[in-house]
Amino acid sequence: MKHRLLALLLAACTLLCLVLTSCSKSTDSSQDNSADAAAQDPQQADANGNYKDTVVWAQSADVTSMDPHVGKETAAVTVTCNIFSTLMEVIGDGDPQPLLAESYQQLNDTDWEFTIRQGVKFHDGSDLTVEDVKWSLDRAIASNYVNYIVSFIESVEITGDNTIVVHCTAPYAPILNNLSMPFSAIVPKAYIEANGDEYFSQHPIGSGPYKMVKWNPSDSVKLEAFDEYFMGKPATKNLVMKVIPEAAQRVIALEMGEVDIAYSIEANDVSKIDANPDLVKYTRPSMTCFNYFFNLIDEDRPTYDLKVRQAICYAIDRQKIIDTILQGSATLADSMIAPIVACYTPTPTYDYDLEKAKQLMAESSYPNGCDLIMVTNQSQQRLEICQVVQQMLKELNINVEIRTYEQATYIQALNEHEHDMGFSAWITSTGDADYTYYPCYHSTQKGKPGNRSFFGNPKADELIEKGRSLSDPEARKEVYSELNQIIYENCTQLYICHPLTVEACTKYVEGFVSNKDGYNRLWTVKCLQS
Amino acid sequence: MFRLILKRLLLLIPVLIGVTFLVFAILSLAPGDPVLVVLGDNATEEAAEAMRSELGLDKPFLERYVNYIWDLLHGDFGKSYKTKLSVSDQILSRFPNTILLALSSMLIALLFGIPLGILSAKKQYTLLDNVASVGGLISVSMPNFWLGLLLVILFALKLRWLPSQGMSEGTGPMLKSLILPAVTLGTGIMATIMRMTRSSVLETMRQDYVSTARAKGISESQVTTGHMLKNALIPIITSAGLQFGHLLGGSMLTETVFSWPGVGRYMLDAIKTKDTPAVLGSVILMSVSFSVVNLLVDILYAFVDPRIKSQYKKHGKKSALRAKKQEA
Repeated sequence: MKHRLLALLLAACTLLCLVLTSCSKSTDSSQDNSADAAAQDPQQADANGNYKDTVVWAQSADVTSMDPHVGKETAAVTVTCNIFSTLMEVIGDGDPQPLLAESYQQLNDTDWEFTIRQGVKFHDGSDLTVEDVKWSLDRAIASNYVNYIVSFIESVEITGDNTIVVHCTAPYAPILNNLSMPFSAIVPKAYIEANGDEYFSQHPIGSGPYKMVKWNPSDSVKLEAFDEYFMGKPATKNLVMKVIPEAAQRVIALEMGEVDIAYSIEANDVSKIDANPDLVKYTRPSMTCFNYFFNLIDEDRPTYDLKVRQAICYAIDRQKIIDTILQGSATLADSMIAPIVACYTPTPTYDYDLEKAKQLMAESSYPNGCDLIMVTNQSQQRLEICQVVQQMLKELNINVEIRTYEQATYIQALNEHEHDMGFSAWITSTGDADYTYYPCYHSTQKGKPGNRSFFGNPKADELIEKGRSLSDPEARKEVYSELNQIIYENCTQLYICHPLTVEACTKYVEGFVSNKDGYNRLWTVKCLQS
Repeated sequence: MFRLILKRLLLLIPVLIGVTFLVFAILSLAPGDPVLVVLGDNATEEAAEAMRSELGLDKPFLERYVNYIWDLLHGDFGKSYKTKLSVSDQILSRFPNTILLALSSMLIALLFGIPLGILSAKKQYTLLDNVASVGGLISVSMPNFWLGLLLVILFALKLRWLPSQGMSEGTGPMLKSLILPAVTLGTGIMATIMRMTRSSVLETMRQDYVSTARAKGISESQVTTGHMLKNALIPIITSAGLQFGHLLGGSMLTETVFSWPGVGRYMLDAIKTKDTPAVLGSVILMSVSFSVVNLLVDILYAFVDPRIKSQYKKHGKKSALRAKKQEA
């Protein structure tokens, strides 16, 4: 009897739990269920009959916040960039183009006028006005999370029914790139004021091609097409973002047709995509640079000696690192700036030459070798690169101690210059060279996040400031070319590579454009019935 | 019995204070600034300072801890540093998923573990016993993530019987998506329970009351279930209870491999970013789950073993007498 009771109790608990989870998953509208059903049932088609009405994409992490002025991680922005619009926009490898701004003009060195599109609506049907634009930019400036992207703005002034003027603190050439970043998205003032920030961060309303239907934390986000989107009706009725943290699982889900698009394919899974005729690979150079910051601040450290730094650079066979650990999914870096970044200029490099490295080491203050501390975070790939570099430096009689820290401690260790060589994966997020030159090389940024070499040079400062103030791209390139020469001569870093970004789709997906900033806008994507 | 439950629940208070203090102290003393992790490489120093002040991280450790406990007493678990969302909402939205996975894994473990353990004991030193022992050893030794991936490759990718990941909607698809993670988690526990059942049944097999039962002419199945298993249940319940308590805290690896939206993954992400309120919230949930499950196990003892039940009753009466004396 008691056993029966126990069995009943256990069964009741399981049932209750099932009901609870079912309830928590089905609190939304019927569209929600149909979206999910369609995701699994390829028979359901849109009005054309040939295309699925739901496209599912997989990414490695969940959205941190739906508020574009808080959630700045790539995993958040890949979703929110489909919900919100910005004044400018970058598509593919292109330059910033007007989006919410119909047009723009530079009034003088520091003032830019933007004419805002008329008739743009938020998802709740309200009109997007210049009030919203000013309020949004002010909100982004006040946000601790994203203000670095709009910190160049002194004030935003409404000058007409559909015009605003952005006053910059100083001449700032990359303004259009910064205003195309999803962190400077335009949000609805009235809605946020009425509902509060926390509500907004879970129930966002934007003016982008898709509106949010449901967010299942750690699991998925469901979006539905906003038919009144000012650029036209989105190609697919529903979009679903699935969180699949394991890279191998993302590829399996793609192979099985559980998802149509998968982001962040790792180097060791690329061969699986290549071998499968049903999958299509999208490879593009990223704006990330794997590099080591040398410690230039502590006189008692070996890396204070220029010849040691140069010897280290010459001793590293970077192509071997790319061919082995990264399995070819990277290109050699000549500077922090990747070739797809605006105002990139080629820079001389310290190419692998062991004899030259040995000679430089012999001429340095450490002819018999030295001990170095290398700091990295817990990324397996980074650790493997560090281990290869450690082995290569043994040729110079340099003993490297690798210190692996979790992210918070890693940042602290670099800021407190515990390292001789600190691994960094810097991303030029805005796609403009100034985004990297200023924080990484300006003397005012010494010790702050970015300039972990603690590099400072008056001529370099002058050129960095000049570069951001010029509006002519060719003139900027000339300035940056001169700046690169200074950085090269000082050998502030060991540049390894720019890893490639790999995304994959099933062969049925059409209209997918891999964006250079990694934030893919999916409103043109559609998927044929398989 | 009621007094015992009350007493155990009251004991939860010092446990929670101790646990939160320890976790709070470890997170505070460990090197690394959570603000720099949350804001990222590009944050300005002013933004970092402003955020430290907003989150109260510029205050002394004890003041922060007392503030946290005060908020906790008011039912406020705080907001995540990273997402600015309420920690309790975030955890509670994931907890049913974790309970479902935990219950299913336990069900698999018990359904297969106990009968296999009994068979093993009754057929000691036979081929079946040896196969079960070796199988159990392999199951316990196999890492969850590896077993999970093997199951995915076989049942999802090759045979296409089950979904490879995620938690599908609707009861039918959800149950289908539950099978692989539950089997992955349940396999190791099943092996432990099987070994425990085997040794426990072996012990009771040699008892006089089993011989007496057989001598009375009771059928072998009744002897096994009514006499042997019933007396062997206590260590099995203890072991299963401990395992279940662990499972309720979330299974980070299995949840990650199968993209299961449970509290384990939430806690893992929180630890990575030193998100103190999120870590504390998860740890409190773990502690409470563990304590409650242990209490349930203690109550279950009373149902299984009349001797323990009488002890509880005696204890209850003594306490009642003591209370009466004090009143007088």
